[in-house]
Amino acid sequence: MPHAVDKISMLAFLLRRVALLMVTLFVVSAVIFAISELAPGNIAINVLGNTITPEQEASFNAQHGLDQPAWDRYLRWMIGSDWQAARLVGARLDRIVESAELNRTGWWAIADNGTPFRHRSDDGETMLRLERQPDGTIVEVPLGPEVWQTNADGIDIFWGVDSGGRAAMWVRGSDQDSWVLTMAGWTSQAGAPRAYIPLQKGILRGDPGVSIITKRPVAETLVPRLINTLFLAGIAFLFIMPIALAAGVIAGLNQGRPLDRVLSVSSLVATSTPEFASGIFLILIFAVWLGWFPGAVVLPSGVSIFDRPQALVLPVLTLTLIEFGYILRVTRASIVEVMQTNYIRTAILKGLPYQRIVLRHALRNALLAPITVIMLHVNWLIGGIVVVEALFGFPGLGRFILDAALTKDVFAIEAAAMVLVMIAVTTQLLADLIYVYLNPRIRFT
Amino acid sequence: MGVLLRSPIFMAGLLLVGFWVVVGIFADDCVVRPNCWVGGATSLQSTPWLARYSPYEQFRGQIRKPPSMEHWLGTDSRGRDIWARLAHGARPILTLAPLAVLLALIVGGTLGLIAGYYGGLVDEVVMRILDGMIAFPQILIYLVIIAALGASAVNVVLAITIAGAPGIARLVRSLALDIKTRDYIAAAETRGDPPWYIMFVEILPNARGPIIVDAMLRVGYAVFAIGTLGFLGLGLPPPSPDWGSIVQVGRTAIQAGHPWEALFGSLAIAMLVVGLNLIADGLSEELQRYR
Repeated sequence: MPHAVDKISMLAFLLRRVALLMVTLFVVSAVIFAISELAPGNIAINVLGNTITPEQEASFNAQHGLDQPAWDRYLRWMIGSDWQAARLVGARLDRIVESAELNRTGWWAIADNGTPFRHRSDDGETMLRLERQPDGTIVEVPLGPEVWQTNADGIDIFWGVDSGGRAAMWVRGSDQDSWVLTMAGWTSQAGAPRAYIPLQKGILRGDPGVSIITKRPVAETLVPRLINTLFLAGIAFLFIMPIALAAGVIAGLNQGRPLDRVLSVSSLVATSTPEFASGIFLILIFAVWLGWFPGAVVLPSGVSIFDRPQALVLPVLTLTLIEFGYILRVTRASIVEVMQTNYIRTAILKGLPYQRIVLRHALRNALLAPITVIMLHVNWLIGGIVVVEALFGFPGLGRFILDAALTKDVFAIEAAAMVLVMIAVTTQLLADLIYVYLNPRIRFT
Repeated sequence: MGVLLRSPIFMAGLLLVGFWVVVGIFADDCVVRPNCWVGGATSLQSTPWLARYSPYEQFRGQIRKPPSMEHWLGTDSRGRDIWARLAHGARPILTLAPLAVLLALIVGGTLGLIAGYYGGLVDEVVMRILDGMIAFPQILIYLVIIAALGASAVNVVLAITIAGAPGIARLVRSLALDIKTRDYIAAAETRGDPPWYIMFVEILPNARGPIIVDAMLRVGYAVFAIGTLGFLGLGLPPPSPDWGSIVQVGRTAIQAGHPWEALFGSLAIAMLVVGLNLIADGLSEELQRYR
């Protein structure tokens, strides 16, 4: 039963690859965390400017959990912190939708009867419980002094949920100030908590955390960017593949003739010109000189890329140039090789029409190599996309990760890196599967 | 070598690369003043040769001027001579790219030799790690390393070395796997040569052909990468004349009708990378014919 054996070995192959993907993701995330940890530079200063006082910096770091050890923060990023904090607060914690129109969510403790609530203290003595009513209004309920719990050091503390998506520890009678930068400038608030646990669900439960820079959930920004990029790359691929494959076949069939020479050299020039340079040439020709297409992607809020297809022309063309040459060269080499095989020679000697030999006999085998090689080339394409998005101001994943890297927004870098590695590894897996499917002589190993 | 000189592809590449090498070396009189070789800052006091001005000199009232007799390629947004900046910018890119490839060759080559020669568990462990790195988009390696460590010549070289080493290791390993089955390796083992001697003296020289072609291609990639990093704002810090950042700065002036900075910066880097790729292509073609 060769069929059953094949299925089992394929399943084992798939499982092993998925396991390997998990290990890769884990290692990559740990390495990125470690590198950004070792990096010089101070996030508080990056975000708030270099005029902040030490108290303001300490308060910022505490509010964002940056005063905790790195492995602690890594663990929180990975498996979340809400279950830890829920034990301290003594209630279930959940992120609920606060406003559907504004697409805003927030962390609340959930009482047994389902009412979400948070805490606040204005003087470090009386704790207020803010209960959210179903209509969205807040009712403040003062809590009695019995809520303070005395810890091992004899200090009265209270764990609750504050309004910034954090579990917070208030200390009774504390004169601690917290510093918050608002639109109006720095405000200090008395009766502030002593320690914080920023709440997040963890990447394993699909929550990549909140960006320190933009203060928005990373997933919220990442997903539309990813869709834009997939759209751009998808169009580019649809555009490149047929033309490049056809050109490669033509060049290969005319091996050594002037047509092949022209195609080969021009493809070499196109592939080796960096994307930003070829993009500049295209902008100068088509946007400045001829004025046919816009040279930058400008999207006012509310306008999606799907409404402005003409803005996509030059980015797609730039990606096309760089990928075109590569695919052409691989296809050409493959065709040249296949045309020298014995079975093609047999077909020629049998007197079959040349067109029939190429279309029926040569193409299928010759396109095998390029298709898989192209899938493996996706890593290269990702690099090109980052540059093209930076050049044209295209709001996609590439610019997202570039901005995240430049501002050292760790959670954003991590999330984008996870997505990129997943895309890269999945396409490689896909390439392997297609290869085995097209060439049954290869077994799963 | 004579065959190479008759290959039009190789010669075209040599011409393009040679142009920038000559311009880079003779941009000023640095080549005859040994104290200038070590630091870029001293080039301020140098006498111009091929480039008439210093790449840092700002000309009053000469902001974003088109090409003229005074300024062959025009002036940039700070009134500096674009030709002088490109000529001096050839230096860092032409030294850093080969340096990064050399380092990647040393690291990757050693790893590949060890994995290929010893085989077994060593091979398995080393190659799994390197495969993981190859699966990783290179741009991410660049971004993470440079963003974390800061933009400087050393970090750019470091990033390109790390990103390039796994590919070289894979190539060298496959060559080593092939060569170690030859009789002369068996002979060396029989006479008791130490493993490092077999790896570096017996195997490595016999694998040089493909390694040289690959290295040539990689110098092209490295120039490509250095330019891209500069364009993304992760290259040499200003005011260094970095080709990528020249394009990055010039790009913003295109719509305002001052395309010169971006255009000539792009042309320079395109010329160099295309030239390096042509050389690699010519080399590999001749190598194949030779076989």
